[in-house]
This record gives sequence, structure tokens and C-alpha cells, in this order.
Amino acid sequence: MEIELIVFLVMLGVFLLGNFLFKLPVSLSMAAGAVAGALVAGEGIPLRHLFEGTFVYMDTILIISTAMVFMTVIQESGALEALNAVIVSKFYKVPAVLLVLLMFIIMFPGMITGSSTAAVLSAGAIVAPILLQMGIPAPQTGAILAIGAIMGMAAPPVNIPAMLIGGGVDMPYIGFEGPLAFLTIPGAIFTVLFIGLRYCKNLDYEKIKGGLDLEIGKKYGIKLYIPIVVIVVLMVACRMLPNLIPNLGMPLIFMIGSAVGLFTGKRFNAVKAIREAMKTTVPVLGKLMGVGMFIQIMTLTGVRGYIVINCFGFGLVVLYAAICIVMPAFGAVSSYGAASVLGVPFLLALLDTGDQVVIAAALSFICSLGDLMPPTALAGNYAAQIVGEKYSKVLRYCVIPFIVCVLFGLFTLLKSRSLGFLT
Amino acid sequence: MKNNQLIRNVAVLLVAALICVVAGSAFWEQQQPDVLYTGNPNITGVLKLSDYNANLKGTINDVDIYVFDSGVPGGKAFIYGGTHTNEVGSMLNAVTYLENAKCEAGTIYVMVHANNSGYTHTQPLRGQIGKMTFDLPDGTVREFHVGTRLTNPIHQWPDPNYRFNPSGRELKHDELAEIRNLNRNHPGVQDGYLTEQTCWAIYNFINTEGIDFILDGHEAGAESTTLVNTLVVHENAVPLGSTAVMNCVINNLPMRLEFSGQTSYGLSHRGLGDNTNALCTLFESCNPVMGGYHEKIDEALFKDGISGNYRAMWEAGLFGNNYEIPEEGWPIEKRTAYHMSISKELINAFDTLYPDKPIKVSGLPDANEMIEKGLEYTLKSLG
Amino acid sequence: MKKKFAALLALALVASVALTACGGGSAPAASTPAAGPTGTNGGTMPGTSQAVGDASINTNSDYTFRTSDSNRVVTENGTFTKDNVPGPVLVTSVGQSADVSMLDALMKKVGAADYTFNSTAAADEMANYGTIIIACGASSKGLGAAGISQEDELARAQAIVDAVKDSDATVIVAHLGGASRRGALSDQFNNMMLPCADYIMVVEDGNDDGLFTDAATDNGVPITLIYSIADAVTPLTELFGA
Repeated sequence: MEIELIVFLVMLGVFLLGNFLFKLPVSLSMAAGAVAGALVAGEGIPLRHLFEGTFVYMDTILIISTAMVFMTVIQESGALEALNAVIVSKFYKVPAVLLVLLMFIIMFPGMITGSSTAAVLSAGAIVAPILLQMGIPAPQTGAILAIGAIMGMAAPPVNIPAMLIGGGVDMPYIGFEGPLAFLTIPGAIFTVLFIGLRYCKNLDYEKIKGGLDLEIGKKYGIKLYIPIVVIVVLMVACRMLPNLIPNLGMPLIFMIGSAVGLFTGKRFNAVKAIREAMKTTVPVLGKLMGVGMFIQIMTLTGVRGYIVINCFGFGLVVLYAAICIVMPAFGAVSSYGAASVLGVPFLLALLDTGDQVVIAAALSFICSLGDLMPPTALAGNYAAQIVGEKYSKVLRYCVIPFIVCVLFGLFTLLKSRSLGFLT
Repeated sequence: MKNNQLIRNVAVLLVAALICVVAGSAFWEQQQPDVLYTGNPNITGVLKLSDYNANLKGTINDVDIYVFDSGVPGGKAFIYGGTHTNEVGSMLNAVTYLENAKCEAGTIYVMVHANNSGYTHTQPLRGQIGKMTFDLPDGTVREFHVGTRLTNPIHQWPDPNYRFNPSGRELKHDELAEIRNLNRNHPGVQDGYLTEQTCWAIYNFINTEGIDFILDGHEAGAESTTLVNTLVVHENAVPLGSTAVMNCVINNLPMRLEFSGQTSYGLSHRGLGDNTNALCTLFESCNPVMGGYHEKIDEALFKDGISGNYRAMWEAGLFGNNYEIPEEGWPIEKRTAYHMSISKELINAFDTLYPDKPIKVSGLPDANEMIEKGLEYTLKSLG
Repeated sequence: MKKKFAALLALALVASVALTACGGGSAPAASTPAAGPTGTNGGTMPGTSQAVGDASINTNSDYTFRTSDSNRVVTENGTFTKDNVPGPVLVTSVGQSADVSMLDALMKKVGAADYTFNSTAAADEMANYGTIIIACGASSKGLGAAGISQEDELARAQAIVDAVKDSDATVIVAHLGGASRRGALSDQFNNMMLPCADYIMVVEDGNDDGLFTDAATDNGVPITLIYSIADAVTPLTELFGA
């Protein structure tokens, strides 16, 4: 047995043992797995590498922290409740349209930022109460949020796994909009209707009305929504008018939105609310740090190269099977990791079979679905947290849309040549 | 109970601080500059990049440019490494020139660490080593830092969310970090970001000194099939490049010629080729550790360049036949020798093609000997 | 559920790696379909060749390589001498790859006197030359550098074909870029020019499917296969050397 395989098995073994047997948090289990891997590979405890890996997702960590603060602020200020009331009262007569619209709202931040976590935390948290009030049970709502956020992450214009895969073979991120829209929009519509429609075919507005807070909107008026408007305007303006709007960055935008939100609605204890927000966020931040450590040690010890080189030994059928199983499964560590570790060699192996951009887009789409994979499951865990359910319950309702999406991705891979017109 | 909690929290913080101090020492060490051998009597002067862009004064990128002036008027060559600081073959070629070169006609300018900031950090998730060492026959050791292709965020932060500088390259989305890439921002901005300032200093240096041709040294991962062992030339430099490559090929160095892309905005061959009178060339050797599929990273992989994974992929035809990944790998002495050979052939070719601007170099080690005996035998001892 | 799923996932990962580890160690099977990133010409790389004694056999076709490290230049299908290359001589390109510049450097190297180098020569200039050497091979960067679109270059190549096919000029098709100058775009130019050739010179690495040797046989013209581009010095010296 090659040393790289042993190292990989030790890393996985220690990670699983730590998480399940010793009940350590995912982050610490991953750190333990990384340290064990380095020890077995004869690297000792490479502090420099462990540190370097830990801080690789610093940007994402800042975005998640500040987004969570923002969400808490607009929740406490009453803006979310008011928004729910408005949307439901306008669209309750056409539940299918309402569901699809809500799905696109969930996707939007993911499309802009390329992060499913950002989508769940911002739009997901806004939409979740509406879905619940429409009669969709909490686990199913969580599933819609999780998959919607992932579809947003994979949707154009920004799809980070596609950039990572393309970057690995010197392929510019050009022409991806069509194939990515082709993959994500049907996936999103199918998911929301498949899971949600049965519960809200005949919406009884009078019943729902009871759960809506129609008063808060009237009390504060349009002022309530200013923080959301500020966020959207700043996010879009920074991208649309880069030469006029200074470089703010997502964390600062969320902080500005949060600061504004303190004065636009109900009064609340800001320090306490922010402390609570951070408390729920820290485990996810820890996971990101653990993932960074894990991948850094995989690269250092040659495990990454080992996995890749063995992928090339596959025949075409096994290769497609591996793409559908191993790539999303790798999402358990990180979907970005799956894109950079596995996406690039899979693309190299499939280049001959059709249109490169469509293939890369389909691979990135399948990679993104890995964000549902426990224990990391960034999108999934946050979605579960928002609807107040265990992720295992939410995951159950993700299975069928997940399989359908993977098969759709596979179909796109197989037909990439005919779909070349999308690029 | 409350006291216990406090003690536990303090203990955790202390352990974290201890780990930070221990790990921090490794990062601190990475910040220390390389000691170069500058005892070559043929060095006739030392310029600084801040001589050409005062904004660089006092910054880490105020790099030395060593002058080898023959005293015989003629052509002017600028050979530099360290644009991307993990591409060590190019840096060691510049070191070889610095330690050994003698200019017999014309003037040669040598810069070892073009983006000095890049040497002070490594890229996360790459699992890279921070330095490489060579044990010299006299028992002394030479050390060279290995960095990454970007300027250290400690020296240039934050990255903008959009940048459109005179290079013509539109930096957005996943390309934003390229604002810290010396080879994406030529010809630079005098008072822009540190990397742009460095590019502008190089641009101004070329114009001020009337440089005739440049060689920007690089390395590429083995999967970069269109780059490895390739000399990329601006359209103005095609006769110079093709002559040099041809002479290398005849000497059994399997190199290729490629044109600079019209949209290779900000790369030296395009950004400097379009905006200066210099004939701009860029050479890439093969460095397996830069790819994503190598084995365990250690100094041996870095120096010996032997990767069974890459060899297997090459044998399976995944990289085409543009170059070979031999069993003996791409050791650092071979990569350095390739850089040295192409730079020497560029000098020879310029001398031949432009007889009114003679330029000649001597004193460089024999490439075959370098490959055979290793850099340990060509590097000078610091004593 | 969460635990079961995680365990299943871990098993899938381990199984996939273990499966391949048993199946052939770290070396992928040589029969893996060749696939590589696109070259500058936009096509994919052909399969690799493996040395078998002096000659070698291509893994993707039945082609047997004629040249080797010890036998670097092989001419087949007759001979081609200095007498066959009347002046004046033009060196041009179709496809605008850097190979034409290498050919120019080679001509200088062998001391060829009095030839015209014009990589974008127009079709109507062909009538002015006794011998036309055409470096075949496409490069998008080369086309960009020359400021010519792919369509315009294809039209120029077709016009050259029309101009030379009925003329008395000797046409030498030189393919010096090896495997990296094959693939869809380059082959459009190769296939256009080969029927006009009176003589073919090819770096054999680029002939691993027999395209050039088959064309030489079909057209009854001599072909010189060379092991590497540097070996072009030998036939060029014989034809144009000082």
C-alpha cells in the first residue's frame, strides 16, 4: 500500500473518529486529521503549514461573520417579518410563481458572491419564514434553502468552482454564463416545485395571515427596508461602477448595512444580538479553518497528487461514475477543494469528449452539490439552523433533487458537444 | 465555577499564543532577505529600482539591479528572475550571471529578485517549502528563499474589487489577486499599488537606460503544455528569439518559440514589448512542484524535480509530446542551465543580428557541467 | 442519518482510492484515451509514442516511426536535390505559427543566400518565385500577432493553393512544429497545402498518424522525415546551403 494512501486513510480515520467517537467539533476533528496525516507522512507537526491552511478562507470567514451580524440585525429590527408579510400578501394567489420567485431570491446573493453560505445567510434567512408560513414543513424548507443556495453558488455570473477548474488548465472564465444558467435554473425550479408545491397548492390567506406581523410594516413604513436596500445597492454598485464606488468589500458592506439597521426599526440590544450571532457562526468558521488545514496537508504529503493520478486510471464509464459520486462526496471536505483537487483532472480526462466550457461548467455544477455533504455541508447546516431543524432531517428531503441535479449534470457532460451553442 | 471557566479560557489563549509564537518564527524567518554573493569583480555598478520610481524608496521592492558594463559601447541586455518567486530556475540563472558573468562588449543588467515581496510568503493550500539549500564543496551552505507568484498582502493590501490599469487587463472576480502579480501589470502605474509601481520602475528603467532586449525568466508546472521550455516573444523580437531558440535546439536543448498573445495584457512580453523599444522575451522551464499533481513536497522534489506522477501522466499522453518528462526529472541545475543557455543565446543572437550594437558575455559556467555537477559546484561560497 | 451518511461517504472515498490503488498503482494505463489541454492551435494533442528499439510505434495508430536518435533524417519516395529548387526562393507561412520564424532562422543558419522571407505573402506574389517554402501550422497567437483572422488566413491559403497548383514553381511544404501543430485548425492548413507539395519536410513527431507520409505516397512526391527541428539543417543545407 502506498504511503499516500495510508496517509489519506489516517487523515480520514482520525477525522471520523474525532467527530463521531470523541464528539469533537468538525473543525477540531479536521485539524486532528491533518496533524495525524502530517505525522504519518513524516512531516512532524508542520505548524507553518497548519497555520497557512487555517487562514486560507479568511475572506470567506469575514463575509460569513459580518453577514450573520447583518441578518441578526434585520431580524431583530423587524424588517424580515415585514418583508414576509408584503411578499406573501401580494403573491399568495399563484403559489407556483411565488415559490419560483422566492427560489430566485434565495439564489441571488450566491450568484453575486459565488458563495452558498452567503445565499443561505442573507436571502435564505429572509425567505425561510415565508416558506414556513406557506405551510411547507421546516425540514422541507431547509432543503429548499440549501439547494437554492447551492444553485445560486453555481449560477452565473460568479461560479468559483468553475473558475478553479478553468484556472487549472489555463481556460479563461469566458462563455460560462449560458451553460451555467442551463444547469442551475431548471435545477432550482424543479427543486422548489418538487419539494414545496404539494404543501401550498391551495393557500388559505386568512390562515397564513394570522402568522404574519402586518403591524410592524405599517409602524415603521419603508424605513424598515433601508438596510436591505443599502446592502443590495452597495453590492451591485461596487460591481457596476467600479471606478466611481470605492472598494468596500463584502464584510464592510454588511457592517454598513448592520449599522444602518440599528436605527431603522425596533430597538434592540445590539451587543447581545451580535454576540449571539457570532456564537452560532463560530463552528462554521472553524470548519472552514479545518478544511484549509486538511487540504494543505493533503497537498504537502502528496495525497492530493495521489488521488488525481489514480483518477486517470479509470475507464470512461468508471470516470463518469467517479464524477457523480466522488466529486460531490469530496464536498464533505470542501466543494472548492473538490473543484481544485478533482475537477481539473476530470476536465483533462474529458477534454476530448466535447465542448470544454460546457464540460467545465457541468463539473463545477456537480462539485457545488457537494456543499450538501455532511459533516461540513456549509449550505446545508446553515439552512437547517435557520429553520431550527437537525441537518439530518433536512438532508433527507435533499436526496431526490440532489440525484436529479447530478444526473442532469451527467447528461450535460455526455451531451456537451451538442450543447456547445450555449457558450 | 466561574473561576474555572476563566482559568480554562486563559489557558486556551496562552496555548494559542504559544503556538502563534512558534509558528510565527517560521513566518518571520521567511521575511529575512537572501544573502547574495556580490564579489564578482566584473560588476561595475548597482542601481536600484527606486532610481526609476522614487515611490519604491523604502519599500521591500526597492530591488538592486547589477550592472556589467564592458566599457565597449554596444547593445544593452536586461536579464532578470524572481518575477514569480516560486519559479526558482529563473532566479538562479540571474544569480549565476551575478556571480560569474563578464561583459566583453555592450552592457548587461541583472536583477535577481524582481518582485522581492513575493519571497516573504508562500501560497496557502500549496504546501510549499519556504527555502532551498545547497551544500557547497567547502562545507558552507547557500540558502535561497522560495516564495510565491504574488506580492505579499503584508506589503500590498487589500486587493481592489476591480482594477483596470494601463496594462489593459481588466482585473475582476477571480483575477483580483493578480493586482499583486508582477507579470500581469506591465507597464505599471507610477503611483499605483506596490506591484504596479514595481512594474513602472522596470518600464522606466528600460526606457531610461535604452535597454535593447530583455529576458524575463519563469517556470511552469508540467501540465502547462504550451509553456514549458518555450521562449515567448513579442512580435518585434521574433528574429532574435527564433535565432536563439534555433541555436539552443541545435545544441540539443529542446526549446520552442511562441508568439506573445495580442491579449496577454500586463505580461512583460506584451506590456513592455508594446510600450518600450526593447525586444521583449520570456522563457519558461519545467518545474513539476508547481503543478497540482506532484508527490509529497520536500526539498528533494523542489531541487531534483523528479515526479513519478507527472512522468506517468506524460507517458499516458496527457501532456502531448511538446516536451519530455524524463525519469531523471527536471532538476534545478538543468532548469537553471536552460535559462542560462537561452539567455546566452539571446545575447549571441543580438550580437549577430545587430552588428552595430555588439554585446558579448563570458565567464558563465558550462551548461553541461552545471547539469552534471549541480549548482553546488557553480554557486560561490559566501565564506 | 447524519452519521450513517458520513460513514457511507467516507467509505465511498476510501473505496474509490483503494480500488484504483489495487488496479495499477500510480501509473495510469497506457491505453487511457489521450487527452490534453488544447494547444495554441485549438486542437487536442495526439497520442504519445513509445520507443521500440531504434524505431518506435505510436500507441494510437499503426504508424511506425522511421527516424530515431541514431537515424535522424530519412528521405522516402525518391530524391529531392538542389536542382529541384530554382530561385528566387520565398519562405512563407500558412497558419502563422512561430514555425515560420524558426524556418527563417534555419535558413540563415545554413547560409541560404538570397531568399525572401514574408510570412504573410499574398497569393499573387507566388508567380515571382521559382521555389516557395510554406511553413504549415496554425497558431491563434501567431494569427493575432500578424493581425489576421482565422477566416482570412484560410482564404489566403486557398488563394495560394490556387496560385501554385498550375504554376511551374516548386512548392515545399514544411511542417516543423511536431505534434503541437496538429489538431483541427492546423490540419485545415496542412490538408489544403499537401496536395500542392512537390516535396515535404516534416518533424516526424507531427506525423504519428501518417498524414504526411500518406500524402507523399498518394502524390508521388519525396518526403524527408526529421527527428527534431534542428535536423532540418541537414536537408536545408543540401538544398539551400552556401
